[in-house]
Amino acid sequence: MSDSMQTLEKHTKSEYKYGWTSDIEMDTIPKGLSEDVVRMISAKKNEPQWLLDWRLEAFRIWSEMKEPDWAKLNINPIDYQDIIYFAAPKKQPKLNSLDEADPELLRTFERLGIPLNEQKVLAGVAVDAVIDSVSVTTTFKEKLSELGIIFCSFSEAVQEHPELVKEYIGSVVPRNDNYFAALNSAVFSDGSFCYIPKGVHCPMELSTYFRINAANTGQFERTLIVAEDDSYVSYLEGCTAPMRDENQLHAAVVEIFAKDRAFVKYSTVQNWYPGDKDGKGGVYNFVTKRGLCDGYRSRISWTQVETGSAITWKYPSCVLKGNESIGEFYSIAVTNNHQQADTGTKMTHLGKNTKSTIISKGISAGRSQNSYRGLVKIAKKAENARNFSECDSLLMGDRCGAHTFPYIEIENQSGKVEHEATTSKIGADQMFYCTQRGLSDEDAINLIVNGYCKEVFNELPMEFAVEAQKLLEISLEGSVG
Amino acid sequence: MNSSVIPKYQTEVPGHFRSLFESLESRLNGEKDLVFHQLRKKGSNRLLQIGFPTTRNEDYKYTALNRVFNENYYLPEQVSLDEQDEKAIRETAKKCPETDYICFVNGRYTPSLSSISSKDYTVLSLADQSEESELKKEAFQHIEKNLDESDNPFVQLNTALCEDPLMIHIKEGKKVEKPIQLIHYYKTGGESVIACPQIFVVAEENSEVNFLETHLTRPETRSEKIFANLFNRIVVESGASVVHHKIQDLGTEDFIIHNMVASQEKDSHFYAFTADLGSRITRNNLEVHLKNSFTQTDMFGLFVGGARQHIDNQTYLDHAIPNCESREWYKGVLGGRSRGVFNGKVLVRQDAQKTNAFQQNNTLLVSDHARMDSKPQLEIYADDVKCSHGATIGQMDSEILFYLKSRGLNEQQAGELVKIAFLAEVFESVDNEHIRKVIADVVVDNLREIYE
Repeated sequence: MSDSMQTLEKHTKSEYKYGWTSDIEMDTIPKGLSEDVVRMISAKKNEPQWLLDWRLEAFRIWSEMKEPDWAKLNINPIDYQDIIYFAAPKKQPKLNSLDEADPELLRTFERLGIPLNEQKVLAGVAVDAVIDSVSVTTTFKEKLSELGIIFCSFSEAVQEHPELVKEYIGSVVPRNDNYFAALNSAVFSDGSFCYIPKGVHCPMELSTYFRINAANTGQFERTLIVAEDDSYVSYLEGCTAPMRDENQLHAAVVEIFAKDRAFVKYSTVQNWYPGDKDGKGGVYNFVTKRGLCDGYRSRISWTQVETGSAITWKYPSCVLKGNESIGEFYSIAVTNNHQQADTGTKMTHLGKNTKSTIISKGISAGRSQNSYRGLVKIAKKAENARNFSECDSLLMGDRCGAHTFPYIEIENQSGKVEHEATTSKIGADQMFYCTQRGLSDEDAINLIVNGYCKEVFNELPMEFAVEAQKLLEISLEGSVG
Repeated sequence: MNSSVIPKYQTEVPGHFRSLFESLESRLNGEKDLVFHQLRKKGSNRLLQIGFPTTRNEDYKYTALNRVFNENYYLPEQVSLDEQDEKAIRETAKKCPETDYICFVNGRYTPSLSSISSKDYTVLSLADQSEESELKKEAFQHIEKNLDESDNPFVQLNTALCEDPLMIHIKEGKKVEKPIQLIHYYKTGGESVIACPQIFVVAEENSEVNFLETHLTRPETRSEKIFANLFNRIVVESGASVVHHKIQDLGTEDFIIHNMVASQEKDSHFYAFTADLGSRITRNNLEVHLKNSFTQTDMFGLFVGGARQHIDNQTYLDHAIPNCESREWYKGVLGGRSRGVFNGKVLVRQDAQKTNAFQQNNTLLVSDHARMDSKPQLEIYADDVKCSHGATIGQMDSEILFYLKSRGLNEQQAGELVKIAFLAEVFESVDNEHIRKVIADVVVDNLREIYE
């Protein structure tokens, strides 16, 4: 026991790998939020009038809303006037190739291990990198555009494809959806836009990389994915932030619109700075993610590995509107030290013969609190809807908490809903079996935790799966209570 | 929910009950200074502070109380029971042979219709203070503490309007052989009535007792409504065992809010079973607090809903102590336009290592318009525990029905059999053979009704 506690301690004390800052010249606006700030952001981005109006309306809605307090989270009050709502790497003359980019910026991405360099074709990932709210560079753009795929920063999309943006923005997550979505709608600075035309199977993984760099900034990016009939795309998202003592706010919105027989797979490895081991600093990750399965047989699959953030408040959900549409949610949420997570999913069944699967694996260690909160709703007209939910929690250490709050609302008798959840620690018998076979305590825990998370790892694209497993090892290994 | 409703629940409705409290007070002559009346006053004051919950309150998310509060209630006057009423009570008492029974009419203890033969326990009226006793003092302390700690407005309301609180005291080491029936009979006299029985049970060390609580009325005789708002406080001392069954079969326009709080000492066992079959809106608030180790807690429930019934089971189990075990299982069948709610919360505190908690809710929906909302919650702060919960909601398995029909049963018989088998898993946990049979019979009757 004491051995493993030591190992746990060693690992929990291991420092956040991505905690450095980059000295990139930043273009920021003064702190605070007001209508003028919204106008300023919009003007900086040279946005059309309709988008400014859209933002201003969102700001009005936000000012009338109250911060939600229902989550099982202990949040230090956020001063919304003490945040810089826009920070971008200083504009340089338009670049023709990556070589001309700020070398400091390139180094940043190198340290992050992001294959920005297009020569790394082998990696086969198209990346849209977002630093402090602004999309810095998008790779593989030309190759994608041959197929008619639009993959660019949100601001580019506003300029070049305004009709698409106008049609779909807010169609899945309306401005008045919740407090943080309203805030994001008012001040979002950039993000990614992705459009997959009819019948196109996107040949590579599309990836967005988010990083908060400047101090006192909030990151408010917005991702919009539109998948036309019979299309397919797999989308990856990764995030890091420097170590800072104060909390940083990240309030993003992700919208996915899937039409007939389209399949969108959205994977996240979230590794925002979780704060130090005394719970100081770290990112507040308040994100609204929702996919609308609008078309017949459309399918949206969320996979997330959440290891970072001081506080996570996030419920990637699916609205299953099209008949026979499918929603999936695979999640691993790891909390350590003083981290708090209130995360889960919402599956709203509206169409006939819709199916949803929820697999959620929570691991809590240290003094962290980890909650699963999920809603499965089968509306009156959703005939033969089917849901299976499994939420397991693993506790490591006697100071942490694991909570499960499933909401199940069924209005149609033909629905079939199963929910099960277990909470336990790693069994002494499991440990005994492994160590008796010659594994060290640490390897045994790794093996058991990996096995425990296997169902979710299997859903991740390969590059991510490797990264996720490593992350998990760093966050946790070596704990048996 | 529009905002105009909230002041109503904060002031108007509590105000209505306040006036009932005042009329009760004016009825008392020299009894105003009695201890219990001070408690009533406290409850009434606390109620004005707390107000009633709206659906914005997380615990009342699925249960709107408008219907309950739209009615004007009166405190029950002494109603005279006719032959039919008395017959109904006797028949109910006889259904379960060899029992003692204690009868309450509109919440008032009625000795003339009760039969107490055992010497192993005593029944005391807490409002009657002609004799001083240590037991009563203790009871008052408990009730007062409960009022101070509880945020449940219905417990406050119950105490404020309770005319005749009753204490049942099981003596140390005594095993009460015959089950004790608590028969609640409701009757109106021209006006809708609120009945607030309060029963305070203390099972002393190593004692054993078995209750069967029945809620009974003849809805066909009246057009007014009954609002039963009960409070059972149960103290289970070391090594004691309290088994409590409840059958609720009120009229389909009546309301019942059943509050039960139990606390358990070392090595004790508490078993609660509820069968909710009648009433328009049913709300059960069941709370168990563990005070010491090695306890066993069982909460079982079944519900059968038809028409526009609304049945809401809330359970709260506080595992504050290590080495305790709990099982919780609620099953229901919903037909017509009925709605069911299950909100079970198991809290395992940091010190409660070696806790073993199991929670399950299964519901069968047998009509197009029935609806179920289930929220089995686990909140766990200790790591060496085994906790699990599960919930399923679905319809009858067509393969099973086909199998039964291929054996010659018709559609209705097959359906009935499946439903009974489904619910049987829960009522088979009832240990006492007679009580089990009484429950089985009334469940089968009710299942037939929702079928028709």
